[in-house]
Amino acid sequence: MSENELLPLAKRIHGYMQQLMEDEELSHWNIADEIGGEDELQMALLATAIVEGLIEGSAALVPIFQEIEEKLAELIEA
Amino acid sequence: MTAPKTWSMDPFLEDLKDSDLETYLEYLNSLTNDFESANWLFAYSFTPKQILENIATNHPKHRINILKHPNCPRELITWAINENYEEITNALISSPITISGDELALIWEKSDISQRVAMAARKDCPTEILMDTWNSDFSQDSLFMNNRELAFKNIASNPNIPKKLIIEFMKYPLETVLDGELTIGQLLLQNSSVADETKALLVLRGVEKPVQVQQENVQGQLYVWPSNLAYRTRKVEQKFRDLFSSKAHPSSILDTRERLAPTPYNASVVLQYWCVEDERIYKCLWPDLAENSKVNFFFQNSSWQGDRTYIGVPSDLDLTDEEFMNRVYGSHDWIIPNTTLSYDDVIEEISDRGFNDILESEPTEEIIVSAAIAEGLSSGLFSLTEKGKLYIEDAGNDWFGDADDVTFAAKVKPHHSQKVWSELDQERQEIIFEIIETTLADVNAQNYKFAAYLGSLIALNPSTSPAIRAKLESLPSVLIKQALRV
Repeated sequence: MSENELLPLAKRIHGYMQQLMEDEELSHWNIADEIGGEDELQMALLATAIVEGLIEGSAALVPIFQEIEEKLAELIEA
Repeated sequence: MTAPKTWSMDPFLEDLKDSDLETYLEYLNSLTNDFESANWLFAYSFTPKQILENIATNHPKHRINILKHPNCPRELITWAINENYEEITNALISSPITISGDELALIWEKSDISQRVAMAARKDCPTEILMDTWNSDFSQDSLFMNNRELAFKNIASNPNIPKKLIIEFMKYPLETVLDGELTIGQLLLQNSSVADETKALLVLRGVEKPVQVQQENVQGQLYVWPSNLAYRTRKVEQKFRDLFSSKAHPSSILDTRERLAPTPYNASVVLQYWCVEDERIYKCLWPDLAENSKVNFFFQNSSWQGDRTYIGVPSDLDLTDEEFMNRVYGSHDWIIPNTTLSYDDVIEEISDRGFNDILESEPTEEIIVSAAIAEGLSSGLFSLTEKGKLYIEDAGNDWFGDADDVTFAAKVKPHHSQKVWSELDQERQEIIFEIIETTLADVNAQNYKFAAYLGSLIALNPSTSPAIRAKLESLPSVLIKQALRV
């Protein structure tokens, strides 16, 4: 896994977040509740920040994002 | 001039009254023609009856407030009893003047239920009226307007309480708190008309005497002495200002149009005056500080604390102690807040509140993303782009622009109504210094910290002369010494 993985990963997380908020009408608060807490939500929001070009993420974010992606995917499936 | 016994008493006016009654009345009469000045006269508890009579004649709109004054003329009470306006009846009911039982019965007849209940709080309210109030119809009471509870409180504490009602009250749970204050039992225990045997019974039933808390909060009394009006309204003849200035009135120090007193100023009176009168001392000492690059002004909007402007100095000079009074409340044309937040301001606002706090306040997408970035800035997991910086700045201005408790940078400029410190003549500067020096000589002096704060403002002032700086250095104040080293 490398930094090259980060943008596609961030895009998927961003996509899941949009889906949850727009289609499922969940609030940020609800999502935090479902994926483990405020720290997890913060990380999910950093994915949006990467997609929007607001921050440049390091490779250290990759495993964190993978975990978040997994939780969001589970939430959508549920 | 000695310090006043209470801040509510104007020592300069009362001194004039004692020494020259004719001039005292002449001065007060000169104020009665002006509607605004009259406002302050009926707010002053010691304004004599004849002056209030003149105000009532000159300004009928002020009559309602005069009715609440302890020296209200008897004729005004009689006039008010025959009027049928709700506001006048309310003022009559709250009047401290004793009203006869027959007159109160007349007022009671034309009153609504809440006015009748309020009347039961009057110590001259006759037993019959208390009984009638007890038997009133409270069926219109609601969660927000509990007249029955208020009636209970007022009757239980009234010295004219009917004996049969004492017995009635004893049937209720005595620990019931009325109107959020005392319990039924405590109100009865405090009532001088309740027999000792009954009080003994109350104690046996577990009623404890309430703790008496009496605090005089002089800081809270934003009081204007009638003698101040000589300086505030320039319509008043100069001779009155000269008179008060000669008695070392604090206004004469900062108002450079006025003569200084030949006698020393009372440091305690002057400092207390500067605390409560208005922002004049700040108008004098703050604007020069803009020339000191280390001094920053901040404006904080707050609906619960009140909008305030204060000074911050990035050093070990800590001015946050409330007793320093490092603040001017409200909005003023000589204080200009910059209501656009910089990127750093936004980051500070976010970190003051925290991610969770923002999350709980139904955030916009932009502010919650900004908060997530701000929280992780020092984590080393990412670096912020220029676009990100602008995004955070915009999001913060949108979100915090109308929010409460936001701190903005501010600028302070000289105001035409007050000469700043650097423009004051040496004599006036010396007097201000002496007031600070006298106060700091007694560590227990009232406003000791305020004096140290004022001293530190002078120390921070780039225009302060070497001579005054040397004198400040000799004062026993750590704060001032720290300010001199900024």
